[in-house]
Amino acid sequence: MWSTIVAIIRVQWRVEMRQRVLLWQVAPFAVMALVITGLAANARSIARTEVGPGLVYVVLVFTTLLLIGRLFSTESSSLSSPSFAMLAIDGSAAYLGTVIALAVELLVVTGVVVAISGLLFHFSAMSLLVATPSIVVTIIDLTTLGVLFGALAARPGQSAALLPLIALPSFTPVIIAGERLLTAAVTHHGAGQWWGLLILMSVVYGGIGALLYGVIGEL
Amino acid sequence: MKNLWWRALGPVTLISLLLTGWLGLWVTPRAQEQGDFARLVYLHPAEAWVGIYLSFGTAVVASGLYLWPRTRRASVDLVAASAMEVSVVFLVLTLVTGSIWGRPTWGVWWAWDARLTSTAVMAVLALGYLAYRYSFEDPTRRAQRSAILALISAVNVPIIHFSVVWWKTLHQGATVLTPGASIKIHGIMAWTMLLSFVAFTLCFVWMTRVRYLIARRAQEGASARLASAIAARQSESGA
Repeated sequence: MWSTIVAIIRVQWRVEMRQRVLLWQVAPFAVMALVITGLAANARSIARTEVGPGLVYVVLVFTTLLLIGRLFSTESSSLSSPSFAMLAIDGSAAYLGTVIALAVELLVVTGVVVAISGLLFHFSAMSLLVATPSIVVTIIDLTTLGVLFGALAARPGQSAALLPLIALPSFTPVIIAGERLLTAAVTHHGAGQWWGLLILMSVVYGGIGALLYGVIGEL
Repeated sequence: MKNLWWRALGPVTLISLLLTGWLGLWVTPRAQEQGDFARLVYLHPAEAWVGIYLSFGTAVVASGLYLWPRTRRASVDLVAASAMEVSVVFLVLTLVTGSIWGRPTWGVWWAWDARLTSTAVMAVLALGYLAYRYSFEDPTRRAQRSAILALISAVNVPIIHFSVVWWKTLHQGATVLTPGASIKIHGIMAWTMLLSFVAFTLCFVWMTRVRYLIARRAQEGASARLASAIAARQSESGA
């Protein structure tokens, strides 16, 4: 199982190293989206600490969808999914490998987004440091859910609008919890109860994904 | 006997809905604080019951039955799809009537209230299921994948619900199913509200059955067209 997970992570990262989509497309998109949403929300005149955390997560959700859409469009076009099934690769290992690879890629983009949000919304370095564990767990949750829904939505010729439509409602609790914890960190208030929800989501959807990923791939 | 029940269902549903309307609009008294707007209590909670719990629940149970090998039938899948379509209708109606009720109560058409928000998210969830379902050509793949999506969504429904409730709420508490069993509605108002639940439940059964019959006929028609096309091709190649 572990060798499969490592192999999948290597494949995903090798694709990224060759295409450099994360560096040249996804990260600039995320930064641009953060600036535009900040302008749209008129973050200059309203309380930045109230609007900033929400905008950060809106951008991260769109970035997640972008990365997942790209991952599964690459897999559909290169026929790597059918070859997984033919090679009898363990579905749960494939799922965990994909989640880990994508979560690391997303965390890199998140690092850039959070650093720039500190400049744009005047979050202190210390508050961002305090928020780091919750940001990491939120990104893991988004990836766990996103890969599961990405597998469901993935088909050659499938409309790109389907993934956001089926995934966004399920992202809602994660976004709320992540936003509350980031707001708590920048305003120095406690919001410990939201940790429970984040961890519950990781466990529930990690379990469902590990169980169903292989089954979905075969249907 | 079974046929008679199904034939009577439509008229019985219509009569119960008309009776609810008559009692709700003319027989029951105006409320002290909310005036005539309180009459929405005979409409809005019953719609929410059908949209959030009954239809969505039926779709999820039918999806589970479809995934279970012993109960896997095309008819069960069609029941799931039909119930989800009815769920979308009632979820939208719940949002519309909730918004109409919210305007005089809260002063705005839309508030970032927990129940409004979670109902809107559920409506998108149900719409996503339908969009996903109708993106497939092959009926077997459509049924299997849609059933998985319905079950995954079902796991998420309580999480969405509680997350939004913890986040923010303005909505009034339960009227009937209160924690201390202290019912806040009495007399003719309580009976009318109870009747509205019965009427809307019957309406759900009738709508789901009609939608199921339409879907089944469409599927039979598609199968018949495919069979005749194959037969025509075979006779062409034979000639």
